[in-house]
Amino acid sequence: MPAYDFPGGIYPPERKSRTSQAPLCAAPLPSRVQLRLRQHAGNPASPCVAEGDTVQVGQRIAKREGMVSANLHASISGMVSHIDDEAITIDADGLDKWQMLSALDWRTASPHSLLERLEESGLAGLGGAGFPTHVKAQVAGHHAIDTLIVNAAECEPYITADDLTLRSYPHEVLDGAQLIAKLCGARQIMVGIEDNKPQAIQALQHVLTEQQHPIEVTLKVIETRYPSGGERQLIKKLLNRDVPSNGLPVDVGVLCHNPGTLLAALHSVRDGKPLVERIITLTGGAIRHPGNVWVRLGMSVAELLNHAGLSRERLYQVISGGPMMGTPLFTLEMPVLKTTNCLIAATRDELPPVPAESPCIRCGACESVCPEQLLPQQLHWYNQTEADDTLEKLHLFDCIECGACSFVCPSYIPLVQEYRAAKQRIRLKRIESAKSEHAKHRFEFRQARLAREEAEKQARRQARLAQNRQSTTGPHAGPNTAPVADLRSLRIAQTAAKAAVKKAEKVLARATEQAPNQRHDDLEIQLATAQENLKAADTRLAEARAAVPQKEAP
Amino acid sequence: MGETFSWWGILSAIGVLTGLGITFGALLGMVSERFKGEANPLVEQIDALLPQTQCGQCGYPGCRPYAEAINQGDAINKCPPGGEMTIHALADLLGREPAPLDGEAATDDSVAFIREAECIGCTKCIQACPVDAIIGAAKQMHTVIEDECTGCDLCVAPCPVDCIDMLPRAKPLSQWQPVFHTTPSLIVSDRASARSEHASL
Amino acid sequence: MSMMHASPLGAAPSTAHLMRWVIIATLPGLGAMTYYFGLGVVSNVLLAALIALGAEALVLTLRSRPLRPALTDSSALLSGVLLGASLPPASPWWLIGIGVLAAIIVAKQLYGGLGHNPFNPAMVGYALLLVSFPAYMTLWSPPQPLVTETLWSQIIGSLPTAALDGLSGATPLDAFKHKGEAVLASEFWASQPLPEGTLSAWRNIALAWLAGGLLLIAKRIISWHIPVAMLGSITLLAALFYASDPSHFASPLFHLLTGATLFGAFFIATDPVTAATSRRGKLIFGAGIGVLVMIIRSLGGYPDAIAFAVLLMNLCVPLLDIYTVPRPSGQPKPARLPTQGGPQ
Repeated sequence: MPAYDFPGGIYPPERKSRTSQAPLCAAPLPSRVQLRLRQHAGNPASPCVAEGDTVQVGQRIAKREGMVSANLHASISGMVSHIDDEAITIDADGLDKWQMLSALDWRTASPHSLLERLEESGLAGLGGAGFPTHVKAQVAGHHAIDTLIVNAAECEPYITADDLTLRSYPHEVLDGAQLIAKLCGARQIMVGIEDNKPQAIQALQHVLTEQQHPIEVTLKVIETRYPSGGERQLIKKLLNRDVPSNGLPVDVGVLCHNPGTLLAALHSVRDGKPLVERIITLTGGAIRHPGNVWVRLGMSVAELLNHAGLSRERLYQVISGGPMMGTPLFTLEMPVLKTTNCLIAATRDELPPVPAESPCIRCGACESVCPEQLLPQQLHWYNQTEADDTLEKLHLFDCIECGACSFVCPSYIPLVQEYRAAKQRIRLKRIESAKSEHAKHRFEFRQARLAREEAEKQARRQARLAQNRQSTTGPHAGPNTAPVADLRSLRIAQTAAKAAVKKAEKVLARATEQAPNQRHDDLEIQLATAQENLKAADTRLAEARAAVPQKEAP
Repeated sequence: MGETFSWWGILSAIGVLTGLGITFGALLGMVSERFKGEANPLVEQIDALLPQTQCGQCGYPGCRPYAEAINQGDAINKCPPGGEMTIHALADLLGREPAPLDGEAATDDSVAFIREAECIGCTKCIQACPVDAIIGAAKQMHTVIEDECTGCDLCVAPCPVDCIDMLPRAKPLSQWQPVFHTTPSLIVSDRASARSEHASL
Repeated sequence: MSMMHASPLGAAPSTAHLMRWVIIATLPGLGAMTYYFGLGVVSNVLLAALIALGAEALVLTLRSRPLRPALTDSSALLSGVLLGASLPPASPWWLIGIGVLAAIIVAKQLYGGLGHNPFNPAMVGYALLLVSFPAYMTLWSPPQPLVTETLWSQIIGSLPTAALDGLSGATPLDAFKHKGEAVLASEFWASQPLPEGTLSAWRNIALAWLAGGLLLIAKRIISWHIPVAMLGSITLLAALFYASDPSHFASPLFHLLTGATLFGAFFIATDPVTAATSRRGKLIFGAGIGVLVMIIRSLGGYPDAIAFAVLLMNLCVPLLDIYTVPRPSGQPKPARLPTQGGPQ
C-alpha cells in the first residue's frame, strides 16, 4: 500500500462479480456498422471514401483533421452505404476480409515509424476520454516524461473490461506499455490496480516474474476506492505528485494509459492491426449473458445487447460507461464507439430513478468526498445565479466530473450535471466574447483604413488645388483658402500613432514568442490598424505642411 | 432632575460622536483614494458590453461610436443584437433605468449568404460590410467569409439584385448547451414560478 | 445526448433521513428531562412540533410551494422539537407558539426556506422568548415526580401568578450567576443553594444529550468537528478562569455538565445550514461558540448563552466560508471567494 493518498473518495457498491467471472468471448460480426467521425477528443475525421465504395476491415475510411484528431478504419468488410456529417455507414458482405498494415518490431523500429504507426492506426484512449494516442506520445518532445502509469484501477462499479484485458493479455499489455514507455522516454512503468482484481494482479505478477522487461515495471496494488482511476488521483496515489490546476499529467512528467489502449497499441505495431474492435463489458440485470466481449466498432448497441440476451420488459435504462460517469442512452440505435467501455442494461430495481431534488442544506458531505478538494456546494450555490467569474475562481474547471458529490448528496441535487452545464456555458461565453472581440478589431481596422483613404484623397485634392492655383495665378497671389491645420496637434497625433504601432508590434512579438504555434489574428489586425492610423496621420501631417509652408517658416 | 441634567454631558457626547464620525469618514475617504482600483475609461467599459456586431441598428456606424454616444447621454436601449441582456448590463454599469428595447429583438444568430449565380459584382455590399467579411472585386462574383460575418444584415439593403440572404448560422454539436432549470428557492422567485406553473397547467 | 442525473446507485441517505436521525437522537435527552421535570417536557415538545408543522404548511401555502416534500423532510419538525426541548417544562401554549412562529416563519421561511436561513431557527425563537419573556423563561421548576396536577393549567396559561413563585426554581447556572459578587464559590456550594438532587439531575440530562450526540457522530449524521471544538474551547476557557480565581469562577466540569452545553454542542451548533462548511471553518465555528458561551456566562448578564453564542457565530459563517476555502488539489493557493454576494 503506497504511503500517499488523494483526498475524498467514496465506496459505491461494486457489482463487478457478474461479469468478472464470465470468460472473454467475441460478439458476432455485425451486419451493418455506423462509424462516427468523432469518436475521439478533438476534431472529427473527414471521410476519404465515397458512397458505394467497397472496403475491407482495417481500411482507412476517414482521415484525421488537424492536430488533435484520429483516423477511422472500416471495422467490417462490405460496401459504404451512407456518408453524412456525423458518420459513415457500412453494410457488411459477411466475408470479413482484412487489410492489415505491415508488421513492425517495436524493439527495433525507429520512434518515428512507431509514432506514424500509432497515428495511422487511429488509436485513441479506450478508457473513456478518447484522447488520440499519437498526440499523447508526441508530448515527449516538449516535456520530460519519467513515468508511464498503466491505469488499471478501473474504479467505476460494474466495469470489468480492463480486468479481463489484463487477465487475458498480460504479456501484450505489458509489451504495449514497454512500447509506449520507450516512445516517450519514460524510465519506469507503474501499474496501478485496485485490490478487488486478484486474478489480474496474479496474472501480472506471473508475467513480471517470468519475463525480463527492459524498462522497469512496478505493480502497485491500491485500495479500492472511487475515483482512484482518475488520472490526477492515481498519480497522487502512486507518485505523490500534484498535477497542477488546468494542467496535464505531462506537466509532472507522467503519462497515463489504459490497459486496453496499450493492448491496441501493441496490436497496431506488432500485427499491423488498426483500431477496429475493442473489449466491452455488457452487464446489468436486464441481460441474460453478462460478460466481456470483443466488439467491432460501430456495431449497434441494440444488436449487441440482443446478442447478450436483453429482456426488454425488465429493461429500465441503458447506460453507456459506468454508473458514476456514464451517460444514459435515449435510444439503443447507437453505435459502439472507441470510447464505449461498458454498457449497463439496468433494471429499475438496480439503478432506480433518483428521488426529487430538495434544497441544499450545506451539510458538506460533497466537500468531504471531493477528490479535487473543491467546494461542490459553493459551486452549486453560485451556479444558481450563473456567477461565472466566481465559479472559475472556485476552480470549476478542475472538476473531474467523477460524481462522488452527487452520490453522497442527501438532497439528491444533480451536482455533476450542473457543473457540466456551467462549464459548457462558460466555454460558449468565451467563444462568443472572442468572436465579438475579433469583430471589434476588424471593425476598427476598417475604420482606420477608411480614414487613411480619406486622408490620402484629401491630400491629393489639396495637391491638385495648389497646383492649379500656382499655374493660374502665380505663387504669392490671393488669400490661402486651404483650411488652417493645427500642425502641432497633427504632430502629436502622428507621434501617438507611431507609439501605438510600436506597442502593437511589441505585443505581437511577445505573444509569438510565448506561443509560437498559435495564430495571433487579433493582434495582427490590431497592428495593421495601428499602421493604418499612422499612415493616415503621416498623410495629414504632410498635407498640412504642404498647404501652409509659409506659416511654418518664421 | 436639575442635578442629573447637564449640558456638559450632552455636549461632550455630541462632540465625541461627531469627532468619531469625522475621523472615520476621513479615514474611509483616504482609504478609498489610496486603494482605488484602476478602472477602465467608461467608454471602454460600455464598448465591452456591446455585442460588437457593428450592425449600425442603433443609428451609429458601429459599436464603439454608440458606446461614445451612450457616454454622452444617449439611450441605452438601441441595440437589438444585444437585447435585454445588454440593456440590463448597461443599466447596471451606468446606474440608469433599464428601458424596453427600441426596435425588434434579434432572432437567432444568422449569417449573410450571397447567391453567387445572381451576383453582378457591384461591390456595394463590400463597401457596406463593417468588418470586411465580404471578398470580391468589381464585375467579379462576391462571397461572404462565414467566420468573419457578424450577421448584421447591413449588406442586404444595398444589394441592387437582392441576392443576399440572411441564413441561420449552423451551431456545431460540440457547442450544444443543455437546457437546465434551476429553481432558486427565494421568496422573490415565488410569484413568478407559481404563475408559470399555473400557466403550464 | 443526455446526462446522468444525481447518482442512480442511490446509496446516499436523504435529507429527511438525516433530520429523522437527529430527532431520534434527541430521545435520550428528552427522556431524561421528562424523568426529572415531568410531563411538561413532553407537552412542550409535542406542542412545539405541531405548531412548527402548521406554520411551515401555512407559509408554503402562501408561497404556493408544494407541501409534501417540505413537510416530509422533517426539518420543521426538528426545529420544533429542539425549541421545545430548550423551554422550561410545561411552558404556556402562547409562549411556545410565539417562539415557534418566530423560528419557522421569520427565521426560516422568510429567508427562503430550508437551506437558505442564515440563523438557526430554534435559537432565534429561543432568543426572542428569552429577551421578551424573561420571567417565563427562567421558570425551571425543581426536579419533581412525573405528573403534576398543575400541568394543564400551566399550559393553558391560567395559573395565577402567585403560584408561579411557588413553582419557580433556578438552574444551577442561574443560581451560580446570581450568588452575588461577595459570595465565594466555596461558600456558595456550602450553603446548599439548590434543592436536593438538582445538580445531579442536570448532570444526568447533559449525559443523556451526550449519548444522543455520540449516536449522531457514530451514524455519521454530524461530523465531530463542531462539538469537539466547542466543548474543547469551553473546557479550556473554563479551566483558565477557574485557575485564575477558583473562588469566583466555576470549574470546567460544572460548565460542561450544566445548562445547555452538551445539548447545544451536538444538536444546535451542528445544524448544517447555519454552520460553516469546510473542516477548518467548522473548527473555528465551534471554538467561537465555546468562547462566546464562556464570556457571556462568566462576564455577561445571562446565566446561559448557547443561543446568543450560536446566533453570533451564525453571523460569521459567510466570512468563515470565504476564508477557510481548502486548497484544491494541484493548486498553489486556496481559492478566494469574492467578499460580496456570498451564500446566505
